[in-house]
Amino acid sequence: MKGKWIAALLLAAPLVSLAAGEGDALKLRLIPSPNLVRNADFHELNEKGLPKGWHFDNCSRSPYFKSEVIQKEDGNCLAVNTEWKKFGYWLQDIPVQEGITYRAGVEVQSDDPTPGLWLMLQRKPDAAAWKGRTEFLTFRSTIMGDEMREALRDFVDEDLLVCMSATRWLLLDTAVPVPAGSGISACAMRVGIYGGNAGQARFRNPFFRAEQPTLEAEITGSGWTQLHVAGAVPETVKLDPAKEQQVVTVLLPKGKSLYKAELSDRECVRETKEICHE
Amino acid sequence: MNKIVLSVLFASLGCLLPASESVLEIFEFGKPEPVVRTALSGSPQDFSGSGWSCRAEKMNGPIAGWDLRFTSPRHEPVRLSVRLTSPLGFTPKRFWDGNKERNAENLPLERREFLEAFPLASAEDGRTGRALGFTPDTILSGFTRALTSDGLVLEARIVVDDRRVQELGIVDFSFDPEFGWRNAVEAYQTAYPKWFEPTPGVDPRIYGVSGYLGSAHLQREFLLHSNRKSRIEWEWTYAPWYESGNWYPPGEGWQGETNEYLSYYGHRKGKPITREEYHDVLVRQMQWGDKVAAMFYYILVKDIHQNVAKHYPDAVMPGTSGLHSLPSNAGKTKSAFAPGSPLFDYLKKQLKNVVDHYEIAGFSFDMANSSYHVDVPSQLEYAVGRSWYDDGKIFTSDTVAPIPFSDYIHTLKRGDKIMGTMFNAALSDFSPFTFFHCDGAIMEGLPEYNVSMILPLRLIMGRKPLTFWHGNQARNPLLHPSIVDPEKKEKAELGFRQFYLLKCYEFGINPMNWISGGPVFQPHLSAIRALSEAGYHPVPAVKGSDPFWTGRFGDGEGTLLTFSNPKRETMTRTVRVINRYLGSGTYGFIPQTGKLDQKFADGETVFELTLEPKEVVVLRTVTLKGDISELSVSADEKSVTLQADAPFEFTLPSADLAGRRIDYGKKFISGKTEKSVELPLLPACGIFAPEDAMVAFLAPEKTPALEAGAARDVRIAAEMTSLYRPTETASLRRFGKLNGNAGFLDAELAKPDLVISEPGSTSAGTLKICVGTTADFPELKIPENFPGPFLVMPDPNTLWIGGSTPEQVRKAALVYFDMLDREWSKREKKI
Repeated sequence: MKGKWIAALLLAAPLVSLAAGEGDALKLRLIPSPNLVRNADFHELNEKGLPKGWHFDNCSRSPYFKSEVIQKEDGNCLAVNTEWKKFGYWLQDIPVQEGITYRAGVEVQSDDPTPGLWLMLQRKPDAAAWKGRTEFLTFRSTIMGDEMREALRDFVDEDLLVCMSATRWLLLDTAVPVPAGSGISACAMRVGIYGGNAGQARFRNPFFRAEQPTLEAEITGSGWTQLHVAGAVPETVKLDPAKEQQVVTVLLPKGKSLYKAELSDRECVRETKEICHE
Repeated sequence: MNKIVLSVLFASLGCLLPASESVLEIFEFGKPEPVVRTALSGSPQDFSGSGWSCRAEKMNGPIAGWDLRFTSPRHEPVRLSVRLTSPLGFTPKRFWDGNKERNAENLPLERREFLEAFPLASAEDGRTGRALGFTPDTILSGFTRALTSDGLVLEARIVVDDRRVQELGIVDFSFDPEFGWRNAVEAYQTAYPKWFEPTPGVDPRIYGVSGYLGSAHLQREFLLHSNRKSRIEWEWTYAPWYESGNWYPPGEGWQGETNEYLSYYGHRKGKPITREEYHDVLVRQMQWGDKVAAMFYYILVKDIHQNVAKHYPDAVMPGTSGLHSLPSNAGKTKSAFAPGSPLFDYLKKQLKNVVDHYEIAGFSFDMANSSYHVDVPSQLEYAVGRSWYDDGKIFTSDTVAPIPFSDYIHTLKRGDKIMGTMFNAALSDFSPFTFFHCDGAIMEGLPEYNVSMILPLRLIMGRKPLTFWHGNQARNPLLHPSIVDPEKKEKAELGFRQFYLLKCYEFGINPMNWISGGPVFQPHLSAIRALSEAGYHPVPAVKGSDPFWTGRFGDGEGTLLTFSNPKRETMTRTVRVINRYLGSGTYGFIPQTGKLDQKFADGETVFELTLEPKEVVVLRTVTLKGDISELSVSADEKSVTLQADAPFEFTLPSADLAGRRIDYGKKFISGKTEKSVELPLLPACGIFAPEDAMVAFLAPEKTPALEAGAARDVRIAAEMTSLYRPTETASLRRFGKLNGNAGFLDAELAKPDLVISEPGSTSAGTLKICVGTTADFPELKIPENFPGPFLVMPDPNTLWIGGSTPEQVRKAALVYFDMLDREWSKREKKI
């Protein structure tokens, strides 16, 4: 559980320095791609007190859906009340580019309904025929909730479990690849109720961003010749040994969580730092 | 909630009704006041309203209750709400709503959801208990239950017309809550035993491990070996048709020249084939499958392909259904409610044809739980279990649909075998009224996927078999994705597996074949199967064992008790077994190994148990007669020893959980002793020749003759012998090691390499393997006249895989194949 939250926190707070260790010459920070979700904090409300930039897709045509924005000290969340086995989502269309893999997510709590994140890629009307995955769905039922956590208490350590809860936030997220040549130009992002029982589910911090964050390295002192980050693009950056201060950036590809940045002078690697992201 | 308020209101209005009698109220749709409000007296009572009438009679049965019969001369449906209030006469401390127990301090307490709960509610104060619920033959689309200051309240919406008599059976009884609500459920199950046992005559292999055989028709012969380790006994034969609804593929409804058979080349590697080929493939699939496991032919009774559904618009919901099972059916199935429509007759014919043509044991119903409500005309016409919304619109829960299918299937036979039904409860929303009609069920997931459904499903199923339908997987989805450290991951995965195993022991639930062959489960399969067959009891009859997880299975001398320690620490508890729940005798208990000292007083057997973390023990039962106060029972692989402080008579099971026996001819052993008796155990298989000499018969270069008797199990044992080398050769080539996944083995190798001949057909001196009973080979002698399964070499050129019965021969063959496995495992990656 912790790792996920740390990653989410870091992505949400890009200015936090990730530099750690003994040396002072190398400081690293992750610069996440911008969140493409508009009004992701649910601060802009319409006359009904509901979030602007979103609209409700009542798939079950149920009259029982009722939504409200709840203002809390740690930020606004969107609450959706529902009856048994209904399906309805807050929807926002997000423009996307081909050839990029995005990551979409939202933090959820639930009293009993099943919160879901449903993403549907949309092709341009004139796009050529393309066969590939266009839907991504992730959800978590409350049946895997606090009762499960309690039942497993003496079997699996609590902090190793993914668990839906009425009081703790859980991140639902998924990768959304948009292949080159697919003709896809937008993604319908739905956050809402994917069946389950009657009650309320709550949502906050929805995000949709390119999955490749930028790693920014700040190098202090002269004599440094190169920075090597295995797996990054580019892997090796030549440095100017004459400079006292320089900043370089590399792209971190998706799918790898641990990177080692190695700072070298003319003789050997002098300083190494690790950085983790999801 | 409004209705509870109303009920309270009536109570405060002075209520001229006696407080000790149950009160029936009947409301008509749209009218806030009840049309009927009366105490139920015990004599038949008749009521009527606008276009309907009702007769209420006291039920004559082991537990008290009421039978309500609603009729109407009108075709136009009448919507009624029926409420029964059962006064308690005591101040309740706890309320059990069929799923959860709650403290009864603040009333009212209510459960609106009828799904995932036993159809009973109870309240008790530790000394007195009252229970109210619906009988298992009742069918409803929903009801609520509550505990109010008036007592227990049950309320259901029903629809009455001239289509069918509507019957509500209501149980309304007092009980001694020695074990809380569990006593009420035990009384209910005892009162309606047939609903908690499989239908008599159904294939008994349903008590064993289940799963997928995972092979295609071309590799069916490999099944005989590839599934040995998993001990699978019945198969969920996934989607053996090309479109749902045309379940007998070669028959009525065949589409076009060819249709795809899902697993022609391997597991889910399909091929379009002709009608005749389809038939042949299915014959082969079921015939060979049945040699390994009871075949339960997979169907979707609520999701019907549009090619069938289009002919029955009155039974079909708009849009497409969510379930299609076959990729080729995606987007082409319709949600259908067949009962009440000619579609039902069409589908019944399909089922009958399947039974008539293929070697099956019954049908498996996928997604027999609830997904939606049905409001199509067929549900109105079927007129069973209908309900209505607040706006008066009539509907039926989709959980009603499987019921008439299952009831019909139970009327079908193959030979003497009654066709059975196995239902998938998925992971939520199962109706008790549906699952009362099946012979066994699966929970489609690991136990941790929905811990709150395990107990209610077990209670609803009673003594019918249950399976956790999931198993070995690369990573448990509940494990946080950030956990990448292999050590941490392995520790967590072990925790999940231990949880799974201990739940199997607590509730007598089988694991699935995806995991049963693995090292964690394999040593436990015999014991868990024994629990499954003995049958679960809601009342554990054990006190003082908390926090151990405790289970009680079977009755009297056949009782099995299970205890496991779910904690992280070693724990010791002094356990008291209340004997009268087990039967009328005095009962002692037998550990599988070790010693158990016991004392007897006041109808209880008392002993101390110390269990390591996650340790499990299963105790068998010895029935005792005599004036004894202490008993010590010791058991190991060789014998069981009983020692008491006075003369006693005893009866105990002949077999232990590993298949060793005191006497192969008896199920129970009785005797008498002054104080002590040692009962030697015969091995589960008598082995009278060196292992290396026996496995040499199937060394790669040897081609022994193979003689076998004619009985079915003997023939299967012989076929397995003739297919051992081809199977393992294919396995080694494909995987580099012995691997039990026949779906991906080379079909070209699926040919026996030995020819089976009749006993005595081979000349003397020929190297041969004899597979058969003592009657098949009367000239051969068994050492010590061993009465069970045996492996013997009567002479250096003869290996006899034998036993007194065909079943024993097959068991002996399994022991032989284990020996061969040990030898062939040495060849890993060498072929």
